[in-house]
Amino acid sequence: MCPEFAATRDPGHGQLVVHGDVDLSTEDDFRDALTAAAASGRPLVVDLTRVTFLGSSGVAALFEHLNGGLEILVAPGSIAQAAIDICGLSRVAVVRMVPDRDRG
Amino acid sequence: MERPRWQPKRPWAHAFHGGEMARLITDFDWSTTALGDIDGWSSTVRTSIEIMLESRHPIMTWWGPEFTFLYNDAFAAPSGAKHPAALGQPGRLVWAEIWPTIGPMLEGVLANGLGTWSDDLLLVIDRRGFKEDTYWTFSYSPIREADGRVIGVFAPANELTSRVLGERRLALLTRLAEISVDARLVDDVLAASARVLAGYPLEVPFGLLYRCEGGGPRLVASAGVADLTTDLPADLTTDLTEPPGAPGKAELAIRPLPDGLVTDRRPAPRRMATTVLRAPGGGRPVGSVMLGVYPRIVLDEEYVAFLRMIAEHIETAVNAARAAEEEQDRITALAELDQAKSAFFSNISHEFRTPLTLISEPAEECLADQAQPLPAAHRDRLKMVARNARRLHRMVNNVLDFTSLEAGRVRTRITAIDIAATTRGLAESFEFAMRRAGLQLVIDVPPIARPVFADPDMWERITLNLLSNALKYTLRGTVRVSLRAHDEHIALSVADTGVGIVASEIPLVFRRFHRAQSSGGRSQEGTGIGLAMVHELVRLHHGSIEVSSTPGVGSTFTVSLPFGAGNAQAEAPPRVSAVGGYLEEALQWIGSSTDQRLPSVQPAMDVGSTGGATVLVVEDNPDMRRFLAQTLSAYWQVSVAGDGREALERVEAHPPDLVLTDVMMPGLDGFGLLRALRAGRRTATTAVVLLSARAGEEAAVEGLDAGADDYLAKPFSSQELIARVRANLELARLRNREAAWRTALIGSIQDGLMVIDGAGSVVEVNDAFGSILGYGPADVPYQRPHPWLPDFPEESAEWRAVTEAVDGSVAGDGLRVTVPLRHRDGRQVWVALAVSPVAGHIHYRLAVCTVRDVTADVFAAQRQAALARLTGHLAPAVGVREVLTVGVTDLSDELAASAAAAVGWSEAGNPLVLAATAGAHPDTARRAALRDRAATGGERPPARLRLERDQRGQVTGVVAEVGSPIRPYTIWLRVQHPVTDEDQARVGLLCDALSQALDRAEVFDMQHTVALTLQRAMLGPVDLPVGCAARYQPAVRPLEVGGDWYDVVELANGNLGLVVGDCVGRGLGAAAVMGQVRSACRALILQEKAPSQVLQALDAFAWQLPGARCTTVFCAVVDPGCGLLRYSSAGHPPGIVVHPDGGHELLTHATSVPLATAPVGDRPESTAALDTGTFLVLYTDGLVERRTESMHVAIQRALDTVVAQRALTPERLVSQVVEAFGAEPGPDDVAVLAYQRMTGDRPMLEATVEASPTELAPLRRSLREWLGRNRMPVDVVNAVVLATSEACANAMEHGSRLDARQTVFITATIGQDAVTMIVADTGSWLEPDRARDVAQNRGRGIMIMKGVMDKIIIDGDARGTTVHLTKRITHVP
Repeated sequence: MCPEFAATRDPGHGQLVVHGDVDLSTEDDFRDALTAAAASGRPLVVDLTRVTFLGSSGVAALFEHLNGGLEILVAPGSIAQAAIDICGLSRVAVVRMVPDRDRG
Repeated sequence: MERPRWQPKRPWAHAFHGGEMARLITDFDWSTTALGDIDGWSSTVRTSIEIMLESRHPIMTWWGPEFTFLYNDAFAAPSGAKHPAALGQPGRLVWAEIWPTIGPMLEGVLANGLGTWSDDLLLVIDRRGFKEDTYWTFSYSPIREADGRVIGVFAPANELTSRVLGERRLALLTRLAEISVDARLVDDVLAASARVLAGYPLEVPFGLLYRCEGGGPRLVASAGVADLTTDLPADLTTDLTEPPGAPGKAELAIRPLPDGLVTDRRPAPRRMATTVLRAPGGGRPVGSVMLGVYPRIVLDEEYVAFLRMIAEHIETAVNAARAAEEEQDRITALAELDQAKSAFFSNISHEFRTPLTLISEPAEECLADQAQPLPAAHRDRLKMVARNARRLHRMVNNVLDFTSLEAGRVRTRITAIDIAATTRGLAESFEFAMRRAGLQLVIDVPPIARPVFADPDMWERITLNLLSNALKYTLRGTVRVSLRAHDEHIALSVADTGVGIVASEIPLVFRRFHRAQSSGGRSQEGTGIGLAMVHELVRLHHGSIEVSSTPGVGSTFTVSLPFGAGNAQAEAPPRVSAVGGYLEEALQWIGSSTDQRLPSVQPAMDVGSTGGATVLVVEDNPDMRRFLAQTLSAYWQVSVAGDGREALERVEAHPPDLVLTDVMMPGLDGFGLLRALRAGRRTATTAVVLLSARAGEEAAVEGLDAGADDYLAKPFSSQELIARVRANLELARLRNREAAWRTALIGSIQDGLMVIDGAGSVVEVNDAFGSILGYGPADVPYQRPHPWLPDFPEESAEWRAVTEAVDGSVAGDGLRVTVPLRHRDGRQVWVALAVSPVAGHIHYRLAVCTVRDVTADVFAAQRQAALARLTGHLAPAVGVREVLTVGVTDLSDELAASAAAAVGWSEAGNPLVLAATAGAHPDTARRAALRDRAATGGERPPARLRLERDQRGQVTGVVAEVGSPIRPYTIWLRVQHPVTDEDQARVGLLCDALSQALDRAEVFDMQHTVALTLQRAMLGPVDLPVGCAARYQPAVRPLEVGGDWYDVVELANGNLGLVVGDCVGRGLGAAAVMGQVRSACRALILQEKAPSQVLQALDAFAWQLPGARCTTVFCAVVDPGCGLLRYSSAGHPPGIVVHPDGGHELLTHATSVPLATAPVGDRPESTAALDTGTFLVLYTDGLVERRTESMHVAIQRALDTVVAQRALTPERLVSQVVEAFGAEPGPDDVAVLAYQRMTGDRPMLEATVEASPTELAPLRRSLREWLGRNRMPVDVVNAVVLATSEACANAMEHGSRLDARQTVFITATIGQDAVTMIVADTGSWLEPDRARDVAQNRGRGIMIMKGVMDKIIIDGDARGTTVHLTKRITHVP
């Protein structure tokens, strides 16, 4: 069984790469990972291209990290992109469409 | 000293601490008893034993079927020799002798859990080597293990033996004391005593009462003796001649029963007490008693003292009766003597006559002889002889006349008399003698024309007797003779200025042979028959005689004779006048008067033991005072006072033994002084003798009536005065000795004692009373309102009854009440009062009241009652909250608290109010709990209760901790009154019981949670096939799991097996059986057997599994393709079929008996056709079994519900059906299974998930998979998954607050052009402070749903929220 959720720091770019589902059961982990990544002081870059699900709770966590500058990578047409769009996050954060590498 | 019940570091330390019993219990090897090894004792056992050990009240506990016996230190003493061997032994062995009595009680408690209460129960036990009557008040209460099983019996017991014995003994002695009042004869006293003894066979099994007279002991009365062939024991007879023992102390000997004595009492006495009854002051023996000793009471000092008191009571009564008998004997003897004296005089006088005549006649002849005259010297001598012979002759004649008169032998010779002339002549004949005596004779006799018919001789004697009497007793002054004629009678009065007659003598002056004892007349001579004869003569004439006299002033005798009738012409017979004789006699007195000596020198009198007593003389006349003081001071210590007021001061300073007081005094007179003395407690019994110049009976009666002990009229002789004072001193001394004895007796009584007078004042108390209430003898009297009243100055009704009982209106045995009073130190004291009015006291109404401190008894009873109440209230409470609610209510009532609450603690240490009374504000309760935590530092101090006080020290609240140290709860009570130690003890006890109940409740809650989880696990698949929905609802109260189940089995051939069943019983046992039956059923269905075959095979299975018998099952197999339903029912309620058009039927055609109840051949099977959209609803009887409704009606209601709601999805329909009955939770579980036959072109997904976020990912996976299987486009799949996940997250987070016990229902339907999702939850309210936080997120979730779906509808109410989501399918081929 693959883990339902994982967040790793990309050593090269300092990005936070998120895997799996971000929902009520994983939102605390997601939030912790965001906070840890933001602690570096550099603008936060979150790669959501590998998430399989992102709901409103994940969006809420992202909203909390707007202050230090937030850039989001997301796969077009994905659930994550829909959620980010609908909640208006794309209007306040930098959202970049990146084709899902796994899906090609 | 209290100490923490549990050592926090070793919460299950296995040692008990405290006294001897704690050590013995700790050291005992319990492994072979029902309790098992001490290390394995449950908290219930330990707590029960700890409560027992810490109590100072005697408490036992009995455990297990053997009733293994444990007890505390307080019970060790009453156990006697059974201690310590009794510990840990089976009850039947320890208490073999009373097991027939208590065994069934204990069995009953263990079997039924019903406690018992026994009051004053007689139990014959063997604890000192003999069978002993004991009396007990005790209760048996069940001790329940956490699972409710009764494992032992808790038994506080109070031994009342000494109280019961004390009451009965007092009653016996009281009845004995009453005897001496009534009985006047010794034999009567002994017979009455025997009757009293016969009424108390448990005190004195038998009694033999002997009287000793000259001839030795004689058995007079007996009680309880069947046969007696023996005499008094030899030494007891010998004892009668022994020197007297100590005065007032009966010598008691205990000895075995002699052979010849047979009693009919059972148990047969083996010993007896014997004693000799003696005359007062330990004098000669007057009787003896033998008293049986009851064998089943220990013969201790008290019993011996009691037997001795019986003997002393009998002795007192015998002596009183002897005194009465002797008095009666004296009176009889005097009367006989009197008669004999008359006869003697009569006889002797006759005999005197002849020799007297032979003396006087020759003497007269000699003197008359002129022929041979005597020489002058001889003549004088002979004259004297003749004169005295005549005198003697007269006296003899008088005696004979009188005895003749008295015997009625004298006939009157009535003639007409000129009464005035006759009387004057008689009077004048005395003139010389009067003058010679220095007296003036006044004759006031006017002529009377009418004759009086009388015997002239007798009238002469009347007149002469009165005249000579006046002369004899008048030393100077005047004698006046008056005669007056009235209408029908004449009145002769002879008045003198003589010595007079004292009042007490007046009734006696006309008695024969009576001679005034005290007066000083001219002569002590005389026969004493003069006035008696006058009286007889007057009586013969139908007249009357009266006397009035004032001592020292004079007397007047008045004779009245009727004129009478007769022959006026009748010749008067010749007669010899007696005048000469009377005159000669009178002149004799005058002549010898110089020789008469008044008793100027007092004879030395013996004043006996009164010597040295103190006498107070109260007299205003100085001469008289001096005379009295001089006279009395020869014998006693005399002090004097001039009037009543001065006397009172002297009495106050030095109370005398006797007060001798004049009546007439200036200021406070004699009567006033008397009243004042009688009113004073200390002087009420002082002897008082009144002196008065007023003679006569009335004055004496008045004085005695006022309470004087004696009355002395002036004048009186010195001897008389001394004799009276002496007699009264002796009486007073006797009385005071009695009073002293009584005081000593009262002081020795263990119970408190008080004496109340008619005004309700307590005038006397003993030391025991003082120690009970703090108000001792030193401060009496205690006036109303009494200082020990608890609600001063209000009197309770009981107490008022006590103070009013003195008026004697209380009948029979008097009044018995138990009242709360207040000790001087402020604490509450319960006392039992027995009030007995004292009958027949002359001056006061009084009641004697015994007071016993029953505080401990009452408090113990209150504690028991409170405990029983709490236990009763706790019985139906199962959960922690319920237990706390009961506890808070009861404790609040117990302490009369104005508010109360129970506070629990969250993991983070925050107070949570779990139960509260109406008056309690949660914040106040929370603050109080936090204060308590702060005050105790989280660790409980040794005292369980903590009192909260304000600045002034007034108690404002009571805080207690209950539960276990691991999970404590804080109880807070607001009280605005003092809390006593007893209150604290009682509340502490209740808190213990509450803690035990909480332990059970915690276990119950935990067990319940486990059982529910298990039930869910066993119930069946959560992921039901499309078209199926099910609901299981455990019974709410009592919270237990049942044997209900449902199952849906998907068969390889596409058919669906649908099963609902119900195993008998409750709890985990039934659930376990259910699991096996369900599995078996499932296995059989999977073999594609027909429903009837499935049930037949289950029959065989159920016969093997004992708990499975009587299981009801409804088994159906449906072919979704053609809609054919085959079914068979084993005693189960019928399934419901409802078609889309509303047509319906009940599946009743294939019903047989429940499983394994009776051998059945082939079970029936029937079919039904299901259209597309038709519902099949199966259910267990828990749904339709209602107390208020017949099952028939309920099934119809369920059917109606399905018909009405057939448009809903199966999931919603099931909910509706359950809710239709949900308003009234039934006693049983409910399982409902619904199936709707679906068409193939409308794929559907239904899911039920717990309200847990971890359910979301699997739900999304199965939803994605299902949508994919139905070839939905990816954007539709993403949109539906996202929106559904959001809807579920909202339902879980906000609706169900992430409570895993809540569920979220999801239904997905793929229609022609749209996917429809329904997400429903059963959630309720949001906590207000959380509401703001989540509003944004919830809003965002809804925003997402709206963003990705085409249509969204949210329905919400208190019971839950339903979200309908619709996504149009835009086909992308």
